[in-house]
Amino acid sequence: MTQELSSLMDGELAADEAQRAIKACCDSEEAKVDWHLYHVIGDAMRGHSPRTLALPKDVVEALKAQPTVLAPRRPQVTFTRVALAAAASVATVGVVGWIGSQGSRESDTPVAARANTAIQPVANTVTLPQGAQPSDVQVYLDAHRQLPQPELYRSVNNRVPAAAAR
Amino acid sequence: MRAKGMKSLTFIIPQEANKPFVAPATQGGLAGLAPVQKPPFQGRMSDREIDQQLVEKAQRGDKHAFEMLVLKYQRKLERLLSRVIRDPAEIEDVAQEAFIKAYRALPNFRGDSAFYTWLYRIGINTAKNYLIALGRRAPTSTEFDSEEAEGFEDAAGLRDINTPESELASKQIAQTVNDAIAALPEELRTAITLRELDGLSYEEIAQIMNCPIGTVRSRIFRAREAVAEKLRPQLGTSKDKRW
Repeated sequence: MTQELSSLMDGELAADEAQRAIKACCDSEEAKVDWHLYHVIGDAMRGHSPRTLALPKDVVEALKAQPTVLAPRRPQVTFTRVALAAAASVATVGVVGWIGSQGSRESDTPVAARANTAIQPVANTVTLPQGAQPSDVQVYLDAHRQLPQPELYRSVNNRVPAAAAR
Repeated sequence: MRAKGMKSLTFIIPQEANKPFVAPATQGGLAGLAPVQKPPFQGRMSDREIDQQLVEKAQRGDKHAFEMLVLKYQRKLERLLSRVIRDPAEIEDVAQEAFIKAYRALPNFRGDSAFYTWLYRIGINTAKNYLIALGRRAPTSTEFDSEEAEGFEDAAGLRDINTPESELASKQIAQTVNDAIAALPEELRTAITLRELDGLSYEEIAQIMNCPIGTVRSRIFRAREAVAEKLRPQLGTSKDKRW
């Protein structure tokens, strides 16, 4: 394993090998010491000898005392996600367009024609009470028509109170 | 035993143990070896990518991965901080605080910059805040640009602030490393020198030493192991007894 560690610090492992080596190093205290020493050797050869060989135990202890951080996984922008988003957008535009075109077709129909088709069924459904004649109905409708009386059309100022008029 | 077509390397004397390991200066790099044009790496994980892997592992809750980053960058960060703070004990404290701050801020690290550049900024800001809290003058931001973080390799500052004891300890470590390298068989010594001092890839070293890449990998590992074995007694650990 230590040979993989040596290659790892030189950036000479393929991605899968590197991941295995990192995992192995994380799982082993011995491997961490080797990782430390191999870096010290490189530093010393380049003239950067450390003041001490000791492992930074204080930092490690302080780190252990920290609550474990857990970063939320960043969403991967993949082709599938982009394609799905595009398809959803196209579908939405399509549905809205279709609804719009249906509305405009209805509005294209002449008003009179629409009125006829609307009123016709209602007219057909009028049923008269048994024994009632159409003329009776006309009398009934005349008596109950909602047209206001002519005097109601007069303005308020011109209105003569009923009592005064008498 | 000497590898075919190779000359022996010169080593620094113990009195100069704190200076870098020096291969003889000849035209074109190492003695008798032609300069090499660096070919691009293919299919290998770069240093930055390895750091990113460790960061992502730590972001998923693996503290051991962050420990590996601490072990890798602690000395470099301390060298950097020595440009701002002079007391070695204070440097250690500030470095520790910077690592803890970096760990806490890890969920915010997106990998837009290299991990060390990010750590550098945290370290410098921690050092400035530390000095301000003590009522001392903090360096201006222009004195420490983040751009220099990647290439920072100056050890002069740290040597200046070393106490006599730490200076001695540092020299002792350097001497142990240099002695161990000097005692290596030549092919191991050349391989590790080309790697650590010249920064060559295994492929380039294989071309120079006229051997397979697997052999280079093995030689560098054996060289490191041989030197590490000399250092372990100073560390207080051996293969049988670790921290």
